[in-house]
Formats: sequence, structure tokens, C-alpha cells
Amino acid sequence: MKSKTIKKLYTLHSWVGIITGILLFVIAFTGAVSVFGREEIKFWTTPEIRALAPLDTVKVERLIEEYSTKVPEHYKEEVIVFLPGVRSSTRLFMMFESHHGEPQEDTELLEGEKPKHNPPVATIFEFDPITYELVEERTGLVEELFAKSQYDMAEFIVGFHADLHMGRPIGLLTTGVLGLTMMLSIVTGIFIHRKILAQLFTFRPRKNYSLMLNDGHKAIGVWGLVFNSVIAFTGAFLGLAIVVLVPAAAFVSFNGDQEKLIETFTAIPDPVIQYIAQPTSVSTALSHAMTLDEEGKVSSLTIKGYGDASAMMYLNVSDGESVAAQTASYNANGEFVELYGNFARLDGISGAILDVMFPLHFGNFGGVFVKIIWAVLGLGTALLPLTGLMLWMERGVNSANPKYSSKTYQRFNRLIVGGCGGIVVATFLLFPANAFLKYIMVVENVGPAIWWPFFGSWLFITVWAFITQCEKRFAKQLTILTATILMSILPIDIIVSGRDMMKSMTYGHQVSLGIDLVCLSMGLYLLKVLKQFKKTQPNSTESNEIGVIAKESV
Amino acid sequence: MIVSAILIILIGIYLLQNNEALTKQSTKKVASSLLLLLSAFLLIVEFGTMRGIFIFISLVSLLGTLFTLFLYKLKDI
Repeated sequence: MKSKTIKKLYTLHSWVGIITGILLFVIAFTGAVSVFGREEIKFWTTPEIRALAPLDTVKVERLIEEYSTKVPEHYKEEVIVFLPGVRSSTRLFMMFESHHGEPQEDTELLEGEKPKHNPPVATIFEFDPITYELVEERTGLVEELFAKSQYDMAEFIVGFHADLHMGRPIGLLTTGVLGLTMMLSIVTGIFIHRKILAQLFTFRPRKNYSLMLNDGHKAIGVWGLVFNSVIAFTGAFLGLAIVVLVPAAAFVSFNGDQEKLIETFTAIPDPVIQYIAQPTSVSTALSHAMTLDEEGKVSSLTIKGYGDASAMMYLNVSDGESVAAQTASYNANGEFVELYGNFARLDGISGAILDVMFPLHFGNFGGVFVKIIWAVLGLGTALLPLTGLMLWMERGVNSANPKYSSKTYQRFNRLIVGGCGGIVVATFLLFPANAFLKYIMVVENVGPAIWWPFFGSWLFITVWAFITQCEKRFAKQLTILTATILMSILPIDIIVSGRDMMKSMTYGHQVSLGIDLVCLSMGLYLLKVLKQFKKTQPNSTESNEIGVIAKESV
Repeated sequence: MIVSAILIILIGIYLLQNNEALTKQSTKKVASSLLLLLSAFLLIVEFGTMRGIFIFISLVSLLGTLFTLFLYKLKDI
């Protein structure tokens, strides 16, 4: 490739990084944490689900039977059950839903006019995961019922990673476009980094600061090339699928009817009701599904045509031997029918590809082991834009003819310290904030309240980075603050659940303790790195070395 | 099985390295490739084909990055 073209690509790589770098760090860092959002962090925030007894399937069947008599007949069109202690569900959740809403009076339709449906309505019953006693009951429009759902930091961090809590379409569009720009950075990075294999093992942290950044940026980028490409592609797809791809496909094939398109490919088919009363063997189906996949977890159950001989049950089995989540279907007698991926109905390989998009992005296809790999590599993904930005500034400041004034570089440096350091502090602050709101303030729904400490601390740190006299000292203070928060997570957990933890070391407690110990280790390591950094801070203004880096890169 | 696969990947990566650069010796490259294939096979046996391949790729990425970033510390030892 001509050196002129490489220079152009280098400029493109730099500018894409400068514009999107901080946001990419924010998305990647929160992504690395949100890998554990469902269910590991959920275990940490909810000690009451850490030591649940195995699901009493007979009890679940009886509860469905009992509560189905308390809702109107048309609400039994679909029954959805979320099992406690799996993914983000803390209680046994039961929803009786009428997709077509409340029945309406017969009105004559004009020629060509389609019959109008009322919005879907439902009744939700939530039961205590230990005693199976009714805790909450609410009825209303499905949309409103879910809008009022309780959530905590586990769902908060996953939601923030998905759409920055800006909602549809802006939030999803932002993260989707960021995935695309990341792909652009990866492609341009491959072309401008000529000695991609020769320098595979090159990392010279002791020579000088710029070389350390340069080598680190390349090492993380080259080794993580495949992983980062997968994350960028799946991230772009998940972000853009709902706001761009689905409307576009619906426009082309379904006259713009997006609901019809989604229903065609994902919805569970309605059975033909025979009007022959027959009990639905929920217990048999649940018990069988739990043994279907040794590693898999049954997270939810959907029943169509409950109480009829034609009833069908669909159980969601995730984290099993297959990368994609599977659906196991059963008939009214609880006899196993088939096991398939969610998009299996699509012809060719496209269904299989769509099925693996989500698990590949979040690493939830091989238990905690894969999640740990995904989280560490995700931190590497976050470090890529950060090292790139710092390198760009280092080169700019030490250049013989800097493009911008030193003030401009300083302001940008402050934005990086505040924006990136702020998100790290805000993310880890979620742990103590969640515990404080739940146990000291006794807030019923922690989710909406947790916005304040998260966005408040992030904004405060970003603004403070511009006010403070020395941003380097501020960065060190932020490191100490992060380490302190990280080290506080273990004592908080011991205070909240120490006695229960001592009584029984169940899987939930083990996961929670694992989070505590990892955070404690990270806190101690940060302090150690800070101490070493003070002692051996390399000289960052060796212009001859900068020249070498510039030549190597371009 | 997982621990064995991780160790084999580490040995494979170590063989690829020579003085902070990719080795030029073909024997080492071949040996490293064989070891990496063996670890991929072990992971496929443990997790199944598709999961095994994805886990293998991610492990190589992770261990390769960590090996490169901490190689200078290994030299101190």
C-alpha cells in the first residue's frame, strides 16, 4: 500500500479515535462490568436469592392453577413465568396476559378498515422465592406494568451499556454507531500497523512513557483483534437492529409493519384451541427441562392455551451446551416436543448467526469462566481508545510543531481524566450506593434512585477535572478513590449478608464472595501500581524516541 | 482439561516469542501451531465445537495480551 494512503488511513484512525474515544471507553468499561450483570451482580445486590432451595415445580404448577382462577378468562391467552434466582429475576413472577386487550363492543368496520385491537393487558403476581407466598399483585396495561418494574444496579449497568439510558432510538443508535466506528478503527489500525506480526511481543514500558503507550496500544489491539472485531460487530448489530435494521426490513417486506416482522420470526405460535379442558402439566415439563442440559438453566416458561388440551409450553434454557439460548417445547401433558434456537425458523445460516449475536457479545455461553475472559478482554477493549488518546496527546505535546496549543491539549487531557476516571468511579460506586439505598434508606425501587449517585459522581468528577489545578494529581486521587470504593465492597457484603454466608456457602454466596475478593484484589493492586508509578515514572519528553514511534506508526 | 488447555496455549505462545519479537525459527512456529491446535481440540472436547472454538480464540487473545504485557517482568525473574 502506498505511504500516502497509509498516512490518510492513519489520519482517519486518529480522528475516529479522538472523536469517539472517550465514549468508546465508557461503553467498553461498563460492558466489561455488565458481563456479570445477569446473574452474578444480581446475587450480590440480592442476598435473599443466594441460597434458594431447588425449585418446587409442583408448587409452581399449583400456584398457576390457583391464580388462573383469579383472572378473567381472556387473560389466560398467555401465561408467562420467570423463575426466581435465574438471570435477573428475584421473585417467582407470574403474568396472565391478554394480547388483544380488554374485549370491545362489536363495531361495524368500514370497507378496507382493519379491526382495531386494544393494547395488551395483564395481571402480574409476584411470589416470595422461599415461601412462595404472594408478595405483590398488579393489573393494567402491559407497557405500564413493565415500566413500573423494580430494578437495581444489575439491570442499571446492563441498561447503561446497551443504550446509555437514553432509550430508543437515540441511545441504541449511539451504541450501534459506536460499534461501527470501532470496526472502522480496527480496519484502519490493521493497515497502518505494518509490522503487525513482527512486533507481536513488543512492550517496552521501561524505556519511556510514549513507548509504553504505543506498545501497549498495539499489543492489546493485535492480540485482541478477533475479540474486538466480534464485540464491535455484535455491538453494532444489537444497537442498530431495532432502530435501523428492523424498520428497514419491515419497510421492504412487511409494508412497514415492524410488529408483524418480529412476530413472524420470533413469536411463539398460538395453538388452535380445542375447547377441551385438560390440566396443563407444568411440573412435568419444568422437571424435564431442568435435566435437558446439564449446564443449562431454565429461566422462564410461556404457556399458550392454558387449561386446554391444545396447550403448549415453551421453556427458555440458557447458559447450556449451546452458545445460543434454546427453547424447549412441551405439549399439555408435559411431553417433550423439541428443542430449538430462537431464530431457528429462519432459513439457512442467518438464524444461527442471529442466535449467537447476544451470547457472543455478553459472553454468557460458558458459565463464569467465559464471563471472566470476556470481562478481562473487555477491559482491554476499554484500554484501546484510552491508550490511543493518550498517545495522540503525547505525540502532539512533544512534537516540534504542535498542531494545537498546550492549553488545548491540557483541556483534552482533563476531559479524558474526568470522563474516563469518572465513569470508573461511578460504576464501582454503584455497589455501596445500591446497599445504602436498599438497607439504610430502605428505598423500595433502588433502580431509579441509583441514577443520582451514578450520574452525579460522573458529572462531578468530569467538572472537577477542569477546575483542579493539576490533572495528574487529580488522576492519582481518583485512583485512590476507586481503590477505596473497591475495597469497601467486601465489608459491605459481610455486613449485609455475613451471617447467612457463614451458615451456608451456596453457589450464590460463592459468586458474591468472588465479586468481593476480586474487587478487593483490584483495589489493592491499584494502590500498589500507584505506589510503583510514583517511584518509577519514566521520562516522557525524549523527543528522539517520539520520532521513532512516529516513524514506526506511519 | 481447561487448565491443561490454558497451559498448552501459554507454552505455544512462549514458543512463538523470541527476544520480544515473533520467532523466525520454523520449527518453533510449527511446534507452537501444533500445541495451539491441541489446546483447541481439548477445549472443543470440553465445551463442544462452537463454544470450544470461541473459548479458544478468546483464551489466545487474553493469554497473548497478558504474556506480552508482563514479559518484561518475567525477564526480571
